[in-house]
Amino acid sequence: MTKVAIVDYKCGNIKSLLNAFQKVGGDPVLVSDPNELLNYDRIVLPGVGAFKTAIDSLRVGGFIDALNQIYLSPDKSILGICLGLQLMCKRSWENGEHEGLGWFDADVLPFKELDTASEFKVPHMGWNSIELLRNTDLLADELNNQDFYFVHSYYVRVNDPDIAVANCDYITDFQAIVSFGNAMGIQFHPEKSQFSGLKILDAFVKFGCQQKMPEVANA
Amino acid sequence: MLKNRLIAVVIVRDGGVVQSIKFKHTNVIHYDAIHAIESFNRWSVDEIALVNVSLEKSSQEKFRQILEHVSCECFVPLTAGGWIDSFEYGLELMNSGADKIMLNSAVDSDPELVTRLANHFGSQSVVASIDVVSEQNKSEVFVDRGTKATGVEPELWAQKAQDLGAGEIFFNSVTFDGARKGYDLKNLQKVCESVSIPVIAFGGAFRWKHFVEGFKAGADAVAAANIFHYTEQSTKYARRHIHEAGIPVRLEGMI
Repeated sequence: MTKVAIVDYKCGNIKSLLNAFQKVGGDPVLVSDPNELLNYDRIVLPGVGAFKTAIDSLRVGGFIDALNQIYLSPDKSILGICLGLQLMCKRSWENGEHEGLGWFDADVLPFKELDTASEFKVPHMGWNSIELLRNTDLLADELNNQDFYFVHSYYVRVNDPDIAVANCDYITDFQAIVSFGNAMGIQFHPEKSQFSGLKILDAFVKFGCQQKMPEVANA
Repeated sequence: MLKNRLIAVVIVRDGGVVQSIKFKHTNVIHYDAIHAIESFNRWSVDEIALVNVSLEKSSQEKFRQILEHVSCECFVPLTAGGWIDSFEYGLELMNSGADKIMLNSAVDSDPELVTRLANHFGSQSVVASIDVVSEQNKSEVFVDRGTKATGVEPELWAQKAQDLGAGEIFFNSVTFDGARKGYDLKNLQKVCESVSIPVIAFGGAFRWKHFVEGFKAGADAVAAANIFHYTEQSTKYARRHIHEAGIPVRLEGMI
């Protein structure tokens, strides 16, 4: 069974993730020691709550270096979920300006500051469909237009369109999935998105989320 | 597009899943809650709420065990409620697989607890439920499993819960519970108009059209218990009916 390390930095409910990875035949392990994290090839960065609290917890727990090391190891795969995705971005504007891990050239912005926000409820909570912009190993065509479960008050906007994998529409078009190198971030909760969500986690266990370099045609 | 939600409620008393009529619980539907959860999962319900209506506080640990057990087979958001009278027990339920916790009597007896849990887990994880008793000219909120009158009108209760930090309102009616005539639309609508957080309609749905009525009264989600247990593939038929009424709903598994 493929082991999946779930970063345990006391930010969020991880029981659901453990259940979901068990369901798809992975072997999830909670890891609270950053050095131990380096022993795994599949890593999940979960997260619920405030951006600043989470990034501070990662820093205090000594996880930042380990996560960067994993990000730079081409044979490893790291998956961010919900706030986990947001932490992988350059900057968040949640109650001030905060620096993230900086793997994705993207900003995390408040729904509430959008012009038309007053007509909508925030957080964006419930099932919403995604538009798949390109295929990856993790996401086949069949997931295009499927519904997934979202709960968030801040959204991700990429500055580099090439790293956007899927979009979602609520108040504005925002990124539901972002991927660069061997990191992928998902705004919704695959562990709570029933069959479609489990398919993504299953593929992550089996294939990881490393980006294949485009093959160069032989002249 | 964001979809409206369909929620299955699993009412647990002394370890078994029971039917509820005017907050009385006589018929045991399942002796093991996991059977109910597995069916709802297969029928693509959007969320599941597990509610402990046991009369004794000593039911807390058994309920937590049931939650932990069913959460292993639940891959949609799972709410747990009933007898949450301390921060520690709320935390235990969240650690046992709940994605949200639902408070009722605490809004009245220990409002600080609602705020504390909302601050810790975020408002999106804290649901406040309202049990309304309605008579011809007067409606008021009851607590302690529908036994104690508070004298507070439903919309004021809802506003208070929102102010305390709750992220969602679960509207229930003692009067309409199990009466099979649809939701208490009058009070539901008042509650929906009085808060800016999502409202879940519960209590009384017996026909698919009742769900549509709930949405039209302003609810963001509709919930039912008895009807889902007694009709095979029920949530799929419900979804089709809602979809055909022009209300956006998740289509996965629709018949």
